[in-house]
Amino acid sequence: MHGGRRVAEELRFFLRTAAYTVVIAVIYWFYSYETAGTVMLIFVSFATGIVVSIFFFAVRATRGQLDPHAGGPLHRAGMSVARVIGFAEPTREANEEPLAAGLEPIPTGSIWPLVAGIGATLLGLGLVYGPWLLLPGIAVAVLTVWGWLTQMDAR
Amino acid sequence: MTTAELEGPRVGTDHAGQRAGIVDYLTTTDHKRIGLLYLFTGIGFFLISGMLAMFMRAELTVPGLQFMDEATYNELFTMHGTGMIFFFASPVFFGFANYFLPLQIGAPDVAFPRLNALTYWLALSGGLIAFSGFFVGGAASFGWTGYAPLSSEIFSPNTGTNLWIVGLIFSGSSGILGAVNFVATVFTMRAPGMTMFRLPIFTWNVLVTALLVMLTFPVLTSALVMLFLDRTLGAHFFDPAAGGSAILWQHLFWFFGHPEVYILILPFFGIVTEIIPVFSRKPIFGYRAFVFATLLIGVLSYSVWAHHMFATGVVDNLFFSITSLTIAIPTGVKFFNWIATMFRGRIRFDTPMLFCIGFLFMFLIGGLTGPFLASPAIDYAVTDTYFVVAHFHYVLLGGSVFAAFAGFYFWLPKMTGRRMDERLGRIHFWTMLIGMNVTFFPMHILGLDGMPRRVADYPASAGWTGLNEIITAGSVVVAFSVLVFGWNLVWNIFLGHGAPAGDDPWEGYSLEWATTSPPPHHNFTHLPPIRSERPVFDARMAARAAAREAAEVARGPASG
Repeated sequence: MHGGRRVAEELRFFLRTAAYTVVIAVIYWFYSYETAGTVMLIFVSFATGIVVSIFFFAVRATRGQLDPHAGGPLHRAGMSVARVIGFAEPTREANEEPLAAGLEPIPTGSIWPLVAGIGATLLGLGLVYGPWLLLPGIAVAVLTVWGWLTQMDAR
Repeated sequence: MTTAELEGPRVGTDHAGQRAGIVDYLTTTDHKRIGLLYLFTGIGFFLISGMLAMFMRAELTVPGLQFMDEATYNELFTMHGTGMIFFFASPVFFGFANYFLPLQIGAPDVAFPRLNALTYWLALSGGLIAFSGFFVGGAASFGWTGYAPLSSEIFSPNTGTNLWIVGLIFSGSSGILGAVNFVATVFTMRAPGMTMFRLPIFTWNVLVTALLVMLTFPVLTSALVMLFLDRTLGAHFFDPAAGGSAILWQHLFWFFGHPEVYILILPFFGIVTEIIPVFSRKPIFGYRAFVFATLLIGVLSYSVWAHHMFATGVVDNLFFSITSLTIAIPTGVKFFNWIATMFRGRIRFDTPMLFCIGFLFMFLIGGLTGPFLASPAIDYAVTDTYFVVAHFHYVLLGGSVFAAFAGFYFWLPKMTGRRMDERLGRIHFWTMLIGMNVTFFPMHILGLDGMPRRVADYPASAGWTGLNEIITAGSVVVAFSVLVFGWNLVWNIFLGHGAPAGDDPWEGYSLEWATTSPPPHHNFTHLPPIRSERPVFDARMAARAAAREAAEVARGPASG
């Protein structure tokens, strides 16, 4: 590690995609002036950007404050690029532990995912065949939400 | 307890040998059982979609229409492609990832077990809905790409098309939820010591694939909803006559569709990368280069979609040609690393390794025709011909399917506690290798000669009959090879005649080999220390060193 903020690999994983798609969206727009592709590239960078923001706070919460930075602004900018691309190593402690603080209990089984699947199937087929399937689908969906949440509460 | 002590059939049993009933599977939230459900669902759709392909080959053997009309043929190739891509390759990826990702990172399950079960039921439901079109007057019939305006209400008014759309929306939704689950699992449930750069390559590849799924399946799902609205509620997203755009469908579809190719190959790269080092008895060459090559393929795949649209004449050929050709670089890195891993290794040619070596050659052929098709000048000449069919079958059958079979032979002993028969495995490999080359290599020639894809008939005067007869013969050999695999699976795994596998039959490297075969409900009773990307290898070497030392100590007083 050569100074500067440590960036956890989980963050960089999404950051790279966000950075690449921003750059390629700009190039693509000025090269082709084609709307659909540009919008989709911006969607990708926006979506990954949201994930990066969430993980930034998750990383901070789990692993404490990220390192103070060192070096001049140019050096720091260069190191930031290197870290995002992956050439600079995150330190062991920035990478050692997973983000979650501890394990939650794991359910041993549940009927509700299957019921949810049946409800979704009825809803989907209802869209094709009509309300006679749609209405039971809605009923099963409501039942699923109740059952699923009740089971989570009970746990 | 080791599996060697257990008797009887092992599929569907837990680690204590208790057979799980249907109710156990219907209500399961265990990632391993869900993984098995995905895998066997994938095999089921592989057989159905493969049978559709055999019907197509029967029709194409000689000129003229012998067994079906054009409309039926259109349904067959549409559902063959849909089935193989959405309901075979994707479920097999989700199956292997479900089963082995938590094991490889030392976790007791995935991050959201109930959500995981829901993703499976949605995927199964999607497949059944899409294929149910065959029973209500005809399935979708416009190709798996669903191009507008062929997929519009005017050209495809049948119910089967709506079912196809709903089925794929289910598949897309299932994929998105599953991908979120995998990413959350890797980020939050790794065992202590399992740093990101100690993750097994398979897990890395699943992670990158999950990122691709998360960002591209929403585009497909949205496009399908738009198409459904066009067909049922009078919207005009893809109707040029009312101000919409048929080309917009192609942009949306291929923005999903090309990353989808990597979604279908990256996990299988991961499987091959797990197997080659174990059977070469060497560590993987260039672990980090592998990881970064995978990441690079992932990000580059977002900017190549319109190379499928060169022939439309409305996309920027130079931009997409350059970005597409760039992907050859990280793929080349992977090839170099696979070969360098095998170089001077003490290679064992068991069935999983045979399929990996077959994969290297077959995928190379498919990969090499990729740059041809990424060059607009050549693409204009061969687009929508059998050259393209040959290209993607070498990539997906020679690549994904060969790697999937390698994965089955490699990991079924872990999943079931029983070994597959080695002799049948070799017969399966060689017949499939020969059959697929006899089937798909001549398609290059037919394509260069101008035979269009997606046609049920061709003129006798075209001179294509001989090659088509050879291709059909090759497809029969491929079908035979799948039957051999099926028999191996039923006899040795389902009926339990396979030899007990033990916990670590191949002397593996990653954490799944540190637990029983099959693993207990929460996967591990204890974990070895994780200080490298090969923790089980480290533990094995440490145990051997300790045993040697103990033997020397014991011998010491006697010899002294």
